[in-house]
Amino acid sequence: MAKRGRPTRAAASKRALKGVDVDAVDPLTVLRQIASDTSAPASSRLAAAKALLAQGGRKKDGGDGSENDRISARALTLLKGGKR
Amino acid sequence: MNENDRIPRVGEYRGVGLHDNQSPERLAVVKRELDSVLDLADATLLVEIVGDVTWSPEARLTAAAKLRAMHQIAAEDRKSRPMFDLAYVVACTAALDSRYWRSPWYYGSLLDPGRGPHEAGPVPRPSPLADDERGAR
Repeated sequence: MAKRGRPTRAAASKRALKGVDVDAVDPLTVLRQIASDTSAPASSRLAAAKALLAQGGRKKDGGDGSENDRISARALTLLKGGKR
Repeated sequence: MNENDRIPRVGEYRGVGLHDNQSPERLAVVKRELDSVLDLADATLLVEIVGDVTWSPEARLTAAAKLRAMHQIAAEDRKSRPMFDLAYVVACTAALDSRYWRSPWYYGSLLDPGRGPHEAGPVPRPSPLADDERGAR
């Protein structure tokens, strides 16, 4: 007789992901959900908020490009003669 | 650099000024190169681009600005600086935005190294620039 009890991690993941379109998962949406979930632990919300800030904080509009990352933004400032 | 010596802009692409005296076909090439540079995050490749005279001056200046930005941000965040020679980057691009030093024959600077054996070399202009377009004194 097969041993019964807690399902293995693989079996639990398989059941949890059943019917979920993995390709449609947007990492930024997941981060936003965690950051705005007041029932989540504060450390999780803070980590999600930090990750969102590193990505520019907001939804990018239209031509999503590297201009929005920190290095490119600083580089454009330097190109325009700005001093940092 | 003297502001009067800066090469005039005819437009802007993704926040980067485009130099004058370029055909629409040439500007399309410059925009493609700017896309590549702005999407690139690898310091080694950016250093290669800065020293490569076959790339447009706008793309090389942008690559240099990204490298300077990487250096500044690493310093601000108290992280180890990226492993490249900032003086080399500045030397490669020092005259690329200068009217006086821009090459009348090529898209680049008079201070750029010329074409070496088995190398593509800088991209030639369809017609040489006049002295007044170069800001010659």
